[in-house]
Amino acid sequence: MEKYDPPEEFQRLLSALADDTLSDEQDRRLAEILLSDANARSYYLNFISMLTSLHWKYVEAAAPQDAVQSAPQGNEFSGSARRSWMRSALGGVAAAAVLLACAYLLLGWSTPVTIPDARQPVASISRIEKVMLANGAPAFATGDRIYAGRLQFASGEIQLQFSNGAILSASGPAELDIESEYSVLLNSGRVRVHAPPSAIGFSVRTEASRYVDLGTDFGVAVNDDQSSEVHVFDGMVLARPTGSEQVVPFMKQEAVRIECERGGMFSIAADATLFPRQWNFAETAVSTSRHAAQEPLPAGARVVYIGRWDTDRGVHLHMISEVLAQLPESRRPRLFNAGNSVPLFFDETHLERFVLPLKPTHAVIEFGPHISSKGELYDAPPKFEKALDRLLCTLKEKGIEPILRTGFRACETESSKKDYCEAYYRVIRTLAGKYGLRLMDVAAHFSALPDKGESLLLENHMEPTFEGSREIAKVELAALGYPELTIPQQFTFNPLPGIIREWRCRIRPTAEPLSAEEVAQIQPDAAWLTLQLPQADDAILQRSIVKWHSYVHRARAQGYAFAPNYDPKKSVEAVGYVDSEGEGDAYINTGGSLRAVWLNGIKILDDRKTFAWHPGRDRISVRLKPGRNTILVEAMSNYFLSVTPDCDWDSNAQKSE
Amino acid sequence: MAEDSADFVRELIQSQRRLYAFIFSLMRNSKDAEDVFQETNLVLWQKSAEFESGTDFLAWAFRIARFQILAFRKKRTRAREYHDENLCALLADQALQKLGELDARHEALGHCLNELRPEIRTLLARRYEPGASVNNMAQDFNRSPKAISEMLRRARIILMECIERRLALEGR
Repeated sequence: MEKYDPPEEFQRLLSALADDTLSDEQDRRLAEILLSDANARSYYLNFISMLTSLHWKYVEAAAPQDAVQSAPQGNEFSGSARRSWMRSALGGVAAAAVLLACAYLLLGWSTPVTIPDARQPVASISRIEKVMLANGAPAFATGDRIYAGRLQFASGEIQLQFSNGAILSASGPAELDIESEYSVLLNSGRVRVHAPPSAIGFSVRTEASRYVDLGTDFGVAVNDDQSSEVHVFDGMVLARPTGSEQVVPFMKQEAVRIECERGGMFSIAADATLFPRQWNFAETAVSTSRHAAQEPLPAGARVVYIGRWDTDRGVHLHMISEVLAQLPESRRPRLFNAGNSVPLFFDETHLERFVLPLKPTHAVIEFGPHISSKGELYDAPPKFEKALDRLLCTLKEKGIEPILRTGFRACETESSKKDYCEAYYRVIRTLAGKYGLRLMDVAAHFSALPDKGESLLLENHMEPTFEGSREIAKVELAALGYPELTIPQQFTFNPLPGIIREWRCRIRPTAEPLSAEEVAQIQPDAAWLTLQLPQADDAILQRSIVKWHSYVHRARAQGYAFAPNYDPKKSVEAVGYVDSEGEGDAYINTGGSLRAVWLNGIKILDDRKTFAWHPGRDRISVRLKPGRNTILVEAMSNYFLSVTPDCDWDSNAQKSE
Repeated sequence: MAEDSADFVRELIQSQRRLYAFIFSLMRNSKDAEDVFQETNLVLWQKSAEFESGTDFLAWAFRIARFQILAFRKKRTRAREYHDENLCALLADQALQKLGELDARHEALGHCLNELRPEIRTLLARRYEPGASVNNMAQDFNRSPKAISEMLRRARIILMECIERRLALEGR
């Protein structure tokens, strides 16, 4: 066939069709074109085929790889569905694929999908309301881990989130045996199950029947006479009476009662009101973070962020602080960046020097891709667990509530480290559950993205892109208790408070430290360059459509000085001036590749070991003299320096200019 | 019996993407297509005893889908008001002729997606998030719905061209 160039009008009609915005009039016009032109029909069918493939591909990619175990070759449903039509599609048959994959459920119908590991929790409590044990004692708490075994309670409502993403709500009195993350035996009571694609194959057994979910929403009840009922609210459920060969699918808004002994099936009316309350599916589906909804941080919270490169760059912190700025100041937590200033497993010295002076109430420990990268691989997960446990205890002893974050790189990108990486994340989740900590499960969130978040990482795979930072910020905001706040698409970066607007600088032919003699003789002259801050973007960056995606743009806009040194064997010396009306206390905030600072000829900082880059990585308390104060800086290339009166240098203080 | 059931389920599974595409192409409305798709699956399940292993499953499934579309149009008022049985027949015939190339197209799409710029891939991925629509994407991206729609349109054109190019290279 000759190449067919679809006319503009036809293209637009197809686009409207793909966007679900095709009007009846447009539909009629589209039909006319299709009826009159065989080439257009051919193109149209190819287009629809592509649209469907796109759905399938993105939906497949969104499913956790281990959601379906040992799926058969050529199975189009090894993935999952997230849109409603896909859900129904999967409801019809993908589950059958799962059932085939699992070999026995459909035809053999007796073997559980997974064999539970008694040492691993299979679910956690994501919501709990007035649950009392049979003996009247209060039971469980949000975040508690649930292991395979019996769950029995007299009253109240409980919601479990299984590690495969299934959510089960139960209202008391109820007795259920959690058999695995894919199987529950309901002895008495009522449960409602929402199984996202990753949990297809989740089954609820009763004495009378077994119900297998096919990516759906349904309720199961066990009546006093041991008959059971299934009510399907969305998707499809397969039912098989105990001891029977008969397998019957039930669709949306259908319900059936199955007798215990004879296996008789009787159609009844589906009734959602008979089952525990419905949770927010959308929230659960979009955010795969496996942690409970959190209360907002308490008033007066001071949160210090400890992490590595991405924390240090602080892009997601900037986003979070922009969003939190919407809150009244009294309820707005203050965020402090200590990224890369201390090792993740810092000791008492680090704690004293970098963390405690910030007087934090909370500390976010951000694990990133470095968790499994060269030089930072803790040689065995048990050792990692021990070290992390110790760190958490230290923080708690100091009255600081730890918050844990998993890394943003999908483990499988580094296959040799995959096992460790996943084991580390499991440790983080387990400890968060053990101590009831807030958990920012960025790893789970990224894993659920269509490409596992690969497109949200920079080439070095160690830092997120700007969009990647948005995703991280989204997860973190939810864990901090502000899931309702949305992150804007556009950002403006302004000069941070106290920057010195003009610097004189020159490139030194060596990277050796400045000697005292050199410092004494420094006197900028006409040969020195002048840097005016904030520096404008260079010509190439100005061409960029979305400038704030560039860290150079962001840093320049915030008041970093970019001196033109690109040779690691050379360095930069720069002089700036601060005029003070009288003698007074102040803080000098540093960042970038700055290595040493002199105030009025006296060295006040010499730190050549730090890898931290963020503004305020060092805060030096100084006393300014009346009149002109001279500040000399030695740096490798770019640097940040500001002088502020406030003893805090947090997200609020950084907006105060 | 168990083997027949397994064969049937396998056929059903492997036909899903093509079956949905077929129904959608004839209905031109995703919501209606979803409903008919689900009903078709149920009917296929119910009629599984009629299916003979080794025969053309898709041709059979497409035939049943066409009946379901007709039945749907009769009982639903919200179906597209414009329906031409001639067009339906033309599209159905042509769709059957194209069956052989669908898998190659599906595979080519995978390669072509990798050639897209990451931000475009992200945009497309967003389109398939739960509850996603051009309108809520517009809010998220701080653009007008028209602008989002246009970006998606261009992305799809790039993909269509890329698929054709790849198929041509493979001599299809």
